[in-house]
Amino acid sequence: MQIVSVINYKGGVGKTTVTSNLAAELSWKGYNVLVLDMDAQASLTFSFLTPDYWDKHLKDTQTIKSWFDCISQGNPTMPLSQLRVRPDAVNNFLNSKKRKGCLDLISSHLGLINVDLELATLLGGASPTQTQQKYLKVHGKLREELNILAKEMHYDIVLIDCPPNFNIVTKNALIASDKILIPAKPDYLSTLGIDYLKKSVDSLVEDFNWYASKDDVYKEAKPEIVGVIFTMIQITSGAPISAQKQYISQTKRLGVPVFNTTFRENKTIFADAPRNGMPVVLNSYSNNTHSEIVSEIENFVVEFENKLGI
Amino acid sequence: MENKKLLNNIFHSLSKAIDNLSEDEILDIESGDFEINFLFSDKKSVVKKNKEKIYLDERVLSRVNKLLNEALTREEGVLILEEHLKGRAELESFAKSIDVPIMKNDKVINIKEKIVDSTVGARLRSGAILGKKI
Repeated sequence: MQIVSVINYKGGVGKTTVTSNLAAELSWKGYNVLVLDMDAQASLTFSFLTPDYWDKHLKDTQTIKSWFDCISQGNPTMPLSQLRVRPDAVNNFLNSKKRKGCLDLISSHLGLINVDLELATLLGGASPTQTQQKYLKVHGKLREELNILAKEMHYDIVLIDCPPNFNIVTKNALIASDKILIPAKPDYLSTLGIDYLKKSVDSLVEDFNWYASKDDVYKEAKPEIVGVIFTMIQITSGAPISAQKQYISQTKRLGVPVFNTTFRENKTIFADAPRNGMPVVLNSYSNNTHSEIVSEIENFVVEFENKLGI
Repeated sequence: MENKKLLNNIFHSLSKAIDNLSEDEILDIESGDFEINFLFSDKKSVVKKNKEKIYLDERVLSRVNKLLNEALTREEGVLILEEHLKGRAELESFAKSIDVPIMKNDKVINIKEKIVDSTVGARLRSGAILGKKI
């Protein structure tokens, strides 16, 4: 089992589209997949469930916010399995096609944005030992619990959709992760965001491992950047337009691992897919361009599997 | 019949002109900020210039790449280009090899700046954010 965080400091780079399609294609290929939505915007949640279902059945007690609330209030956390749901649209489709994989979801909550302040108040202590224990507990708890859940539910892969910031919730996701996948638009500001992220991850890992090295229970964290997947690509004559191509080449020159495959810009099919609870990659299209986009996502997932060695 | 031939000529010219548009020009039109205008010109007065494509030696490409990769400042980058690449055509050819887009109306100095920004500049920016010396 591997845990992969999907993150970019910059918002609006197609992070949720990448996560939902990656998860759907992996489950189509027979993997048991868990997606964990840690972004307070809850876009991934609403890509698989309708907001009214979420409001009626999950909002109050069955989101990742409920779990973080337990930590901030000093209560024991519930097992993550209690928060897990199996979205109907995707899983009914997989079952109808006699596919062995599944796609489960732990939902986000619009109020998750406020959790960070509460968690921050838990940090600090009267002595260095107390500070160390609190830091490790606040930042390392999710890793512990996700590993228990993955064993219990036989998940092959856990994908965490992270918010475009670096608060304690995000840090929990990164500490829990084996790998980091970075979706980015090939433009000036998005590529700067890759460096911000690398610096922040290095600094987080250094801090966490410094505390973990003095503790017998918590193991050191080693999240590794699996690569940058470029998104929202505009294609002309079968290749990205030159204005975008320069940033892809530039990122490669800087020594950052970059996926050869990309996600193409196409509002016609990507704009509507979340409403139906079905990621684009699971749909069949008669239009040639749309079919090509599905093939490109399938190729990305093959490359992802190879990079992860799964 | 005459009209048919005339229309055929007009559409043929139009189609040829659109084919010759660069990808950036097509995007400009798509954005709505630019429009297409017709320009009538006497074909006989147009002097055809056969631009010969410049192909840089693979060794020159990799040498310049290597030097730019080791350059510590943008100024050093410009000097490397001036020393190893002669004229606009060679600069354009090198820019193309590293995927730096060049516009028809770019002056030589702009081409140099674009190449240096995409190589030395990118490393300087990355180093500044990561807090590392390049």
